[in-house]
Amino acid sequence: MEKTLPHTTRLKFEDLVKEYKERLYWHIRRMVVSHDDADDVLQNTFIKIYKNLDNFNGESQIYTWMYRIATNESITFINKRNRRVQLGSEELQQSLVDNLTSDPYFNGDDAQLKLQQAIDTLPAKQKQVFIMKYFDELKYNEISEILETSEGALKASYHHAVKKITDFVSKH
Amino acid sequence: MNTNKRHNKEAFQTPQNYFEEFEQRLNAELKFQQVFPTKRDGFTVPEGYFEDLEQRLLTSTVSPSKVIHFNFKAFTAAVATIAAVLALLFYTVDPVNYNSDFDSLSLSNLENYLNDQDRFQDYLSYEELTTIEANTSIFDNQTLDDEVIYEYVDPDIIASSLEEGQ
Repeated sequence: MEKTLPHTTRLKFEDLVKEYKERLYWHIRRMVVSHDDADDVLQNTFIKIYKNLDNFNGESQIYTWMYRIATNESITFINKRNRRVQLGSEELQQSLVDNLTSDPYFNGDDAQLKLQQAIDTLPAKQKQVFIMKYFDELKYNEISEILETSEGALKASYHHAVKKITDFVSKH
Repeated sequence: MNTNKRHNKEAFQTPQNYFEEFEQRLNAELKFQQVFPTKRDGFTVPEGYFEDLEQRLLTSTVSPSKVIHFNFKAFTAAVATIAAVLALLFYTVDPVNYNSDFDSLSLSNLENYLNDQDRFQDYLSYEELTTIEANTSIFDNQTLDDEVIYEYVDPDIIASSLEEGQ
């Protein structure tokens, strides 16, 4: 049976959708690259938020809780996609980024294309940290809560990511 | 003044190699900002996407009609998967006399088979499966009866699968 949420919870959920839909979309989009995939993952993310809203224990900020769900949904999606097309994750990401040039929803210049290519050479964790810090502009203590990783480790990851991206661009 | 400086130096400490690493981090960041002076990723969305998005998200979660549609799709996919698996198991378990009953076939057989083949994840999420289980009487008993199976599985699918296997 479909769970019926109390009226106040539904109102709260509607506020969350209104407030966070764009931020979560962009976070997911930078992880999965394609708009259509981001749209699917965003929908799954909000479905999960809706179903678990009553169980949210309030120990973390609600938006870090939502980011965590969005991040996990994105990772799950990427893993499923990799299995489906039977390509290694790096190969698949590479082909997705190569397709960006013909993607109607990508209008970046050469530098932005290079940036995407460089990001996709990063290990998964560094990629997540870089996206959250650089594009989503989250603070280290927020990322720490989302990824359940120490701030020191996150700073090191971000620094490695920045260095790798700069090196990649200078070589290509 | 001198006393204060000494006091501060003793009271506050930094992690080992902090200043060397700080310099490296700063240089890397400066280089990065030279290469990417503006923070843009180049991604765009279809026109009006975000205006439309809120309504779509609310419809897919809060609205019961959409939820029913979602469950139906999931159920259809499940039935198709189960049909194929049942046909395969039916043939594999008893290839000589495939008209034997399904008494020995249990839900755990199906689960094990699907898990072995890594098929669940290809078709259904855990949540979708849970929803299907909760809404479908086929899963009420741990052992599946013939009648129940035939109610859900198109016999033509079984027959054609068996013919292919012969």
